[in-house]
Amino acid sequence: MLNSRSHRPWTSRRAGPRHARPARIAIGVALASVRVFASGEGNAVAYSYQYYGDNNKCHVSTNLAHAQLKLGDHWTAGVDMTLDAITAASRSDDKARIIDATTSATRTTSRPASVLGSVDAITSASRTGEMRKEFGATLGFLYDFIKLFRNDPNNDDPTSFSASGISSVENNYTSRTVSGGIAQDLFQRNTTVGLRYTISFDQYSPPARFLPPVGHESWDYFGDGRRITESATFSLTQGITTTTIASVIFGYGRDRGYLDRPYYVITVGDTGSGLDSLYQEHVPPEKENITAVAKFNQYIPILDGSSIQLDYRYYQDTWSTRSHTIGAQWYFRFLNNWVVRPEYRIYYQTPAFFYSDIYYVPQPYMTADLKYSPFIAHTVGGKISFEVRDFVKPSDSPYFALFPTSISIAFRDYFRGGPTDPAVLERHYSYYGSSTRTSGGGEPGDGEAEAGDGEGDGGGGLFRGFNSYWLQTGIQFAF
Amino acid sequence: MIRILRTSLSILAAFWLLLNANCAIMQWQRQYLGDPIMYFDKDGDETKLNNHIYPRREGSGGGYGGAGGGCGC
Repeated sequence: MLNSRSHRPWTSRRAGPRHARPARIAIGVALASVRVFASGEGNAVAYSYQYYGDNNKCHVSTNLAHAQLKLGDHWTAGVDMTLDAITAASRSDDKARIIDATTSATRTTSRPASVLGSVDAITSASRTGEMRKEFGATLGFLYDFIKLFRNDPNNDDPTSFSASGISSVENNYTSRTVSGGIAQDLFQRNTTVGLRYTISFDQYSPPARFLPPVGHESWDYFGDGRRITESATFSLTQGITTTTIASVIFGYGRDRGYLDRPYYVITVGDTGSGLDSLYQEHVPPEKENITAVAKFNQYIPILDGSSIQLDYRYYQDTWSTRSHTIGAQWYFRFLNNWVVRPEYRIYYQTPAFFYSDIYYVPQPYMTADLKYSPFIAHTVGGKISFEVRDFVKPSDSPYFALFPTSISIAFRDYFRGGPTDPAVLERHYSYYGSSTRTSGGGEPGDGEAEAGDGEGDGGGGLFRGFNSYWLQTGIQFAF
Repeated sequence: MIRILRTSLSILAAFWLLLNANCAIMQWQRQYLGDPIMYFDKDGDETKLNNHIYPRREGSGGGYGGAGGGCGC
């Protein structure tokens, strides 16, 4: 009888190179572990697509995939991936010299001798594109410590811990975020208190011609265009009645480092005389903010169920910006599985202390970004979704079988007014695209293509304010 | 005057919440509170996408407690 092993030389070839075996073994063990620990209930995968467009000639297509896995009774794990494909008009300028806002010091390093002292510093208007890739992972742990300590089997006040990490990379910008939180249910789940802390480490890497000069206070704050963003929130959620629930969230945030955008420029001087100069945006390197959010949700027993959700946010920061945001959403379900949600949001803010429609002489801090100006914005939108209620996975189904549980489509329109003074309009036009009047949205890799500012004329030749819209579709499966 | 009014309302709201904290809603009374249309953050992915848009348009952002990746916007 032949030795079967000796007559199967292909088995060694199929096993692949020796160095690949540990990786395969690890993957196999990981998959086996998932199969052992995943409980089956609570597992979901979801996919969302969003299309964004505005009259600033910026278009963004976003694909978001998200998976959540329940591992046993206490652990959950999630991963998500986001891809933003951005197209926008680049800025055009052929008439002015760009000077640093704070200093005209020349460079002695590998950076350019002057900030943007050549006329081709901002190239001709054209369509540009970039891709942002974001990956995130979340780990959660749920355990009823109170039940354990009180030795009371009827207690139901679990504690949940969560930690997440996010990495976002685009052509000239990277961001790393870590976050941790704890939430504690109290009074038989009638009250939930929560704490969360988030810190982000970001870094700009613009092309050399956009680098600020040596000694730039923001660029050199942490060195090399880095910024650190922190936020901490405390939340309290309370069941008020059998049909009412409310929540308050208090937050504190701090941004430090290079908070400028190197591709934003400001016209200083007399535009009409042609004696103006362009400066890079420069904002203070530190900002602190506080927020207070109140949410209120009321159930209304009409149709197959309905609820009205109201929320308010107050914001104040050390740049003198204060804002008020009020949102209202009305959910109503019909035919058991269909949910429709019209919504409205209004936003009001005061300007940052350094914002001005026109700068006649250089200031220590300057920006042309209308998001720092005083304005009121409105959002109207709606969503319709089909949702399977109380889904229970069939016991005889294959482990990785997918069951669609919801599909939805949503639309929002965001609009705000803008300056009406002709002198201001001329100034804002001159910021972006002096000859073509093509509005500025982004340079390749600057990450600002999403930051349409409303300075654009929308291609129509008259300033109409800023208008954007976005369409979202999503589908979710349980497995 | 407005400051006093604000403070008074805040204290009143806090007192109201604490008072209601002792009036537990029993498990069998939560059929409405447990309905998904009563969730504050019903669709996390939708919230994430929206929270990536508004701060790029407005001078303020955050405060809702979620973690998000930064961008150079």
